[in-house]
Amino acid sequence: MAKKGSSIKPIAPYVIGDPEQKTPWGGINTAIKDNRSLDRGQTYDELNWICGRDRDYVELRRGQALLGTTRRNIPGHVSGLGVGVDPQGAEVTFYSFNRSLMFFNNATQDTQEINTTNILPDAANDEDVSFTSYEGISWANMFATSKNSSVYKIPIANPDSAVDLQAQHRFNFMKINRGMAFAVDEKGNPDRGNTSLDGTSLWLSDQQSNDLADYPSHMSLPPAPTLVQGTGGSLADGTYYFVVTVFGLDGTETTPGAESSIVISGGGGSASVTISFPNVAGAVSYNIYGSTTPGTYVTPSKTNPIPILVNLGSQNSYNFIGPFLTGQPPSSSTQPLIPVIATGDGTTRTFSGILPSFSPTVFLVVITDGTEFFLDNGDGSFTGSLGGTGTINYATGAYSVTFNTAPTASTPITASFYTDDSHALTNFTVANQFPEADGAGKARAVLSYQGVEYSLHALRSWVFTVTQGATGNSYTNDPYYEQIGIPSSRSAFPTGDGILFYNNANPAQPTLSILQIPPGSTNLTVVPIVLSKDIDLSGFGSGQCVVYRWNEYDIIELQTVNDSGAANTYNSITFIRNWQSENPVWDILDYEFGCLGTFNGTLISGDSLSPNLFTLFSGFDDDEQIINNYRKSSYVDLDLPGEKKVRYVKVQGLIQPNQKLQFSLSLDEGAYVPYYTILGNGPYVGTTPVGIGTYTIGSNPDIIGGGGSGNPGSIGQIAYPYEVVIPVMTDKFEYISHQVKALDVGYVRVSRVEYMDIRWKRKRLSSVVDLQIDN
Amino acid sequence: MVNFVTSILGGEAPDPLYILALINMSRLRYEKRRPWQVLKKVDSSQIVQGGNTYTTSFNLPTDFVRYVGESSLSEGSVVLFTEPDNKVTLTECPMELLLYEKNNWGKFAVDYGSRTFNICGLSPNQFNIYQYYIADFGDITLSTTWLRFNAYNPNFALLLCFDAAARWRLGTDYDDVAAFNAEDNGKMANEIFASMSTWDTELSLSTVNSLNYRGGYQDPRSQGPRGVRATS
Repeated sequence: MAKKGSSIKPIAPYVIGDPEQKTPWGGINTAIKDNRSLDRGQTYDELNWICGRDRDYVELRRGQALLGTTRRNIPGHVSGLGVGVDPQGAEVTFYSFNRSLMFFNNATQDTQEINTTNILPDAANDEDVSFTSYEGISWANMFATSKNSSVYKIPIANPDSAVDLQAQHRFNFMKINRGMAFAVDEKGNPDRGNTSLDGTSLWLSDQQSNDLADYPSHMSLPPAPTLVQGTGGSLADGTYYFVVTVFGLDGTETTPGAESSIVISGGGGSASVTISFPNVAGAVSYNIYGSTTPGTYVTPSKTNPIPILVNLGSQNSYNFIGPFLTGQPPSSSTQPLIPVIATGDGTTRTFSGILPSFSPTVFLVVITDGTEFFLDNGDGSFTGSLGGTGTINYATGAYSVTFNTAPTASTPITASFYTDDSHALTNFTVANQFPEADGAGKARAVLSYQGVEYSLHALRSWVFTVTQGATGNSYTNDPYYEQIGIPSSRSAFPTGDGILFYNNANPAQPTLSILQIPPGSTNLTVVPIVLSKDIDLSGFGSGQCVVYRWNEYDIIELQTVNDSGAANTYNSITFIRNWQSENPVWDILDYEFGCLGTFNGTLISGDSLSPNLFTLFSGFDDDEQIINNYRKSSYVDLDLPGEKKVRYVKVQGLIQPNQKLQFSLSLDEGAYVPYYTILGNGPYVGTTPVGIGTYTIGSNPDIIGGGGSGNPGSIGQIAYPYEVVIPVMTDKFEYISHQVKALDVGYVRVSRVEYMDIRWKRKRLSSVVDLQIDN
Repeated sequence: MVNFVTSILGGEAPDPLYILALINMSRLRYEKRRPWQVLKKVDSSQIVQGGNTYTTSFNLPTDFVRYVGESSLSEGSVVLFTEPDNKVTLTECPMELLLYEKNNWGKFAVDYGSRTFNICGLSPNQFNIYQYYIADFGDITLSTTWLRFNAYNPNFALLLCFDAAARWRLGTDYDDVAAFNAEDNGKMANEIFASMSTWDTELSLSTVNSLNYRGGYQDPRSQGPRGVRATS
């Protein structure tokens, strides 16, 4: 027994999860192979637990939910994903699988195929599709291309309508910025007379113009004017003829419209004529021509100066008192003309149809009856000047307008618009083909950082610059870094901090790196910095690697390896780190996706095993299944060498009522033995709710999820604090590891694990080799 | 009892079989500390025939520990009796002297190794053999308790629990804190033991309150406590 008078030296509790005491939580560490050599907060094996930004807790990751309501149980996987934004800020998600281009219909809240079924050719079935959106003068459009298809243009406002731009060049990767398409991994379109095949060059398209004069426009002529005799003029009795021309969208004067005539009598040489006509869409100004000879306005006479020439500006009524001036209407014009699109009947308010002569897409559409003007908002909608509404499909030319007041009988309804065939974005000339063929394999992607384009190949990288000048652009294209290479077009991602990329130029030592100017550096050279020192990525397949940054996370998606040592054909393991953390750590999740996108702030994924989209980090179940999870902490010796026992473990955190958290211990690498299951409705759970963010991470009340019914994902979630002291009464051990595992659906967080009442037993190891005895 | 040991240990639950072993070792030690009244037992299942000689072996009871007599003579521990009132008190002699005492009626020799005994001399009659002895009622198991003692007071069994807990803390699972706990556990065991001893003493005294110690040799009731020869 202890000697009387001796004093006990209490052993301080061993705490995990107290950053203030420098015992923060950590992430996965697979770089250090001895799991006893890790920091106390780290884990050597985990699934679906994430360390908080400030490393003050670990939490079960959020779930994932099908985006939309239609689940497609057919073979295939999502082969491309892109999100576009229309000029009014509404976001639209596009994706592809097999031969289909799909989109998420914000109105129906479901996914659907565009109006053209299987728009991709057979040769492009199931191949990667590159999506890039661009908002230029012709509104916002999504462009999609793949090596064996074409380039497709889809108005963001009309996501169900795609236009095949009949491109001569197709690419595995294309992006558009500065009005130019940057593309790599090219394949010519034999159907368009092009058999090129160039995997290594950087291709640069022409630059899209921002000058409306460079785009074809269409408009209608005004109808025959209405003529009324008046007084106060200088016109003699007789018959007079009038026509109207328009200065329209392309700035030139049109040929004259239909002619009207009036017989002036009893005027006594002092008559006048009031000439009026309905306004037409797209008119900037009108000219009125008069004549005493029907259909003839071509023989001006100074002594009897007819025809007249009056520039009305944008007015559509003029009281002509004479005299006639000189001039004649153009006999031809560069302004393309279209017929009136409809005629009022005094009762009909809604008119719909197809715009004539559009191809392949339209923009800046105006429709009017001369009284109410409908202006195209860029998002596929019209707003009438008198309160009417309407819609326009930029790809099909389908329009529908509802006037506030029914146009009067016989009133022509006219339209004007510009067309854009995106020629510039699909025109790749030899002059803008920049060879990067240095034996470094295919060019995978082109990404921007601080105005410079980095072209990443399989094994090396190139740097490309564009200098825009008054006389045109100039370019530089130079080799950049050796041993910077990416395995797929999606394995690099541009961020404000630099270009994240999965560098497997050295396959034995792949890393996630970032091309950036090192923070705090005065040297402005961009260099690669390794971000994944804690994780060993060499045991995973990267052929379909995805690298992404969303919210506060950097994300890597890779293929796991099957029992025979080969990489699976689909992605199934996710590494994430909170880049906003002061000391970011990595965690492992089991999301399965082949591509990612950010949709209204949320993270959406294209499934790698089915042709469906999912919203990640949403809810608390995995598509209605319990989230598979566990987190095994590093083996720690409690800062007490030798054998010891632990009698109690205190666990604190947050939990939702339906969740259950199983707490297990492993002694000296033995099996994990469950010691206690913390119930979300247990007596040790507090009643003061704590906010844990929105239902879907990234969702925001400001963002309407479509349908005008609010955004369910933005509803705040709560959990309750728990604090449990578990009497574990362990056997003797040298190293101990705890495991937490959520057993049900619901949020759960572990913020602190505290080994209490530690009893030091002896310094001797549990198992020692005594050389004298064993030999 | 094992659960109570776990409670003493503050919830720590060592291997129950090991704790049971500690409890039974404790039982062994405390049962040997004194001739507990509650461990006394009589066996009268055997008969010695008339004309029996020293060559006949009789069995000790299976739960035999020792005869109740505390002197080397063990007088009065084995009594031969036959109705109506024919009594013979046997006196034990060493087994190796059996051949020397074989004709001395009134003596017997025990072969402890074989758990048998032989009665010397020629039996004049048929007798029932009454053996008065301290019995071993067997180990405590997971489902039993210290039955003979608990029949009188369930708290007596806690003696073994506290003792086993102290042994665990000191002998098996030593640490600074456990050592302090063990010290108190030991004290508690001693206290209970003292109480039990007092109680047992009272039982012993009550059995002899009516005896006339000076009643003479022929009446064993006058001999006082076993092994203490009354003076006449």
